[in-house]
Amino acid sequence: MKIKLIIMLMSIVKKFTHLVTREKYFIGLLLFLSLIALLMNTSVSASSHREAPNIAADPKADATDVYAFISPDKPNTVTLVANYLPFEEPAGGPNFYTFDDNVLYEIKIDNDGDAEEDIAYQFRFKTNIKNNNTFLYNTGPITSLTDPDWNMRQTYTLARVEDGKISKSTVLGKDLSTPPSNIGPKSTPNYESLQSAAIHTIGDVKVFAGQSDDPFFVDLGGVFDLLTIRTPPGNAGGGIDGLRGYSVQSLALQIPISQLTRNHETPTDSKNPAAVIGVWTAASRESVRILRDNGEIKNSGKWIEVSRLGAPLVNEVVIPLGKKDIWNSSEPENDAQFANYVADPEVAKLLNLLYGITVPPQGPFGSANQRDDLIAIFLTGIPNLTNSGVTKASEQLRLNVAIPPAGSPNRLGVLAGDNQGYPNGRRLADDVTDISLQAVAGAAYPLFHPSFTPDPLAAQLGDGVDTNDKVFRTSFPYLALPTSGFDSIPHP
Amino acid sequence: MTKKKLIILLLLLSLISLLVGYEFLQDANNRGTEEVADTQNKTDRTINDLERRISSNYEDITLYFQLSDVYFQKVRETADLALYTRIDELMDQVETKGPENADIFATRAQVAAGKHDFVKALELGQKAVELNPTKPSYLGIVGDAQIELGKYEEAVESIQKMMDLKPSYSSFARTAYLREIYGDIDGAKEMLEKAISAGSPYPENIAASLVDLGKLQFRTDVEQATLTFNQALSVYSDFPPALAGLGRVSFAKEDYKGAIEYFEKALQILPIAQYATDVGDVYSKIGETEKAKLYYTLALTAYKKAESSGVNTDLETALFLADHDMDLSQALEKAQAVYKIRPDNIYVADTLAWVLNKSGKPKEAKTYSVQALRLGEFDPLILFHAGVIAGKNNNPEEAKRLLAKTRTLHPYFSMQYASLLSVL
Repeated sequence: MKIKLIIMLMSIVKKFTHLVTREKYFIGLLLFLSLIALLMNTSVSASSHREAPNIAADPKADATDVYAFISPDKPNTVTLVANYLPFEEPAGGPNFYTFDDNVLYEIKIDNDGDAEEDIAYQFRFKTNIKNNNTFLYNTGPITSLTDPDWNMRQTYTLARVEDGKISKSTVLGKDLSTPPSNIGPKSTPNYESLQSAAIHTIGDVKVFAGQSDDPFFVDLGGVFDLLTIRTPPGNAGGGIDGLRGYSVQSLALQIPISQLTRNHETPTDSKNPAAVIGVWTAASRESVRILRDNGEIKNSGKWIEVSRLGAPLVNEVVIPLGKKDIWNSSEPENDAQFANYVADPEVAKLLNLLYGITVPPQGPFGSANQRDDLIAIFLTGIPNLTNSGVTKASEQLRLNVAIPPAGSPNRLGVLAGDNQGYPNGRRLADDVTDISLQAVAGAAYPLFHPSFTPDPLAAQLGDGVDTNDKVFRTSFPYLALPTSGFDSIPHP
Repeated sequence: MTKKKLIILLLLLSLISLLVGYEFLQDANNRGTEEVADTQNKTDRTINDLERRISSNYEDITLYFQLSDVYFQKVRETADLALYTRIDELMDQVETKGPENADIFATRAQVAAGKHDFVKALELGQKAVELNPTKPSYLGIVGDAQIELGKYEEAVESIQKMMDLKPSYSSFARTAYLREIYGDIDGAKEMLEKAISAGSPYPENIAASLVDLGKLQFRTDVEQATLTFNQALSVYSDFPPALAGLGRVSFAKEDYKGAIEYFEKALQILPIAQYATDVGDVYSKIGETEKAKLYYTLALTAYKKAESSGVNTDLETALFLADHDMDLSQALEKAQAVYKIRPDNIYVADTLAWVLNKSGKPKEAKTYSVQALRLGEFDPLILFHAGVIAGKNNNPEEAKRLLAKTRTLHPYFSMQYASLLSVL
């Protein structure tokens, strides 16, 4: 140990004290000390004041994706999925990823187009620690959801709230169990059966909350590095799925259509405005009073929304960096403030600059040139498809519940003639990156401006990643099982 | 010994120490890739990725701020102050593209805080808030500076604003510190638990909060504290503050050999003055005064080195010198210098009080001790100092009361002085 060596040397020097005069000793010691000083690390004590990090990230409250689609195997129901916790490494031990007990997770529905929530499904989690004398996640193999070896079992309460009013809140289920994280064959054997025990049926509703394989697939490194397409124009593969092998925390619900529509019916005519519902997810944390009053226990304030997500890629591609905090804490009804970014998109200018694509004209919100196709897709809904008859701009994932599941789904959804796909809701396999790139490049513009001919390249754009690395399943919750920590290859 | 032989001896020693120091530096720099696995590598990976992207796209200023943020994290992990120079460079470059960017002020404020120039940190932080009043992190920067300057009420306001905009790890951790300052230890623990539950992309942040929690638990439950420090190690292997925490716990259990091992390990990974002092204090306790002195010399050298790197260490150094009866006049000079800059900080007033007491001026000491207690009788160290000062001012009843209170709050508050409490 080097410190010991330094100490040893210093004591050797001291031993020579009696052999030299006092002055010479001090000169020597000084020389020696200055040498040590020169070579020591330039660091300071971390003691007299507290230096807490000041980080912007809040992973457990960070929504990654929302999905909404008519369940292919149960077409009178809608499946809603909201995922949280980006870049969840499967081998996340010894403190595995969970939901945060202090976050209110919600999936919200606007079924009358006024940009306000009509229905909200709320998830509140609680971690039940079995043995306080250990901080281990599990103390042995977890063979069932009630196995005492699962030391940090997380359960939840599911409630349904109408019109955003506490007085109209119904608890649907209490102490519902999540599955454990998929650790490996010793800790979590027979993971599929462990997970399926965590799929709960409450009347006509199914619910699941727990770890899943991240269903999103995108060339992250490429797309966010100034729209790099590795093999242009991007419709022949060549991309690298930056989310391959990661897990997420999923909230999933399967609900009868009639429980979500404004008229409590199951519309069959897609032109019926009641057939359109808008979906988004929000995560909130309770604000806290900095100093508690003496003896006062209740020191919490109101719920503050810290994250919200509806349609994919809006926060990444449309909203500029400086506005993300405002976006995350604002409500859909105030989304007109962001309309300029949709009406006059930066990404379109980039596609023109980098790839020479002739994009449609664009201009500020309200101007003649505004990208009304993108405004429809992201903010108001596409007429005769996902517009519920109201034109108030708000960013939501809009689903037309009267369009039945496609016999042969196409990953490019509406742009390829498959009207059951994105931007009509979002299925797990919809390639939203390619769809968004093509839409911004003008592929959907003719819907609103029939005389416009999109650049031929527009329909070929993509990131070169067309499918998820894991196959989706055919029944609720449809998401692929998460990779076990044991089997995973930690990302470099 | 002849003059010639002395010169040869010194040259020989210099050579050896050069070699030792060179290897030592290499160890310190390689720590991230060598010993520790992928939990810590995230910081280095992100740095490399961003540096690369900047070199090929120097127009995207968001990358500069992202990179600065990661460098701040790296300083937390390595205490390598040279990184502040790189951050300054990055900000100089961003300034040429748009000087009124609020993030520039915020970043420079954080550098100032790292160098303990809290007046500058507040000034720059407030400029950032002026330009963007709804950004939570700017309020955090201002709040931090206000705490260090002893403007506690203003700090509470700033952090409340931060919390009301966005409850998060950062606002929970800051609330914990303020609650501790105001004596609400249970409330502080609650906030740290919230911060830990929220998590962070950097495991070091969670380990740091676990250590903060462990320190509070240590006051009343040594076993709980031990568990928490070990949990911190499980989150971030060989985390030096957790090792030091286990050192203190070992000391409390009278396992002095174990304590020395923990502190030595912490010192090896992060060669800072505090850990050298800790080793010295254990050696002092077991009567190995010569060894202790060597470590105190090492600590002093570390403080001087930090000073020459641009960090104001007057407060820490003054307390250290006074505690170990080394150069009290320098201690007084430093304590008075800090007091001049930030007299409202209760720890600054307390340090000045202690130095004056050690310098044989108990009456003057009392004035500053009273200031240090203005928020209430909460902090064990401040109470201990006040007790000793009361004794020196011929006030034995008051002395007894204060020292008894210290022991009730935290029997193991100090390795150096804890034994004085046991005689009560």
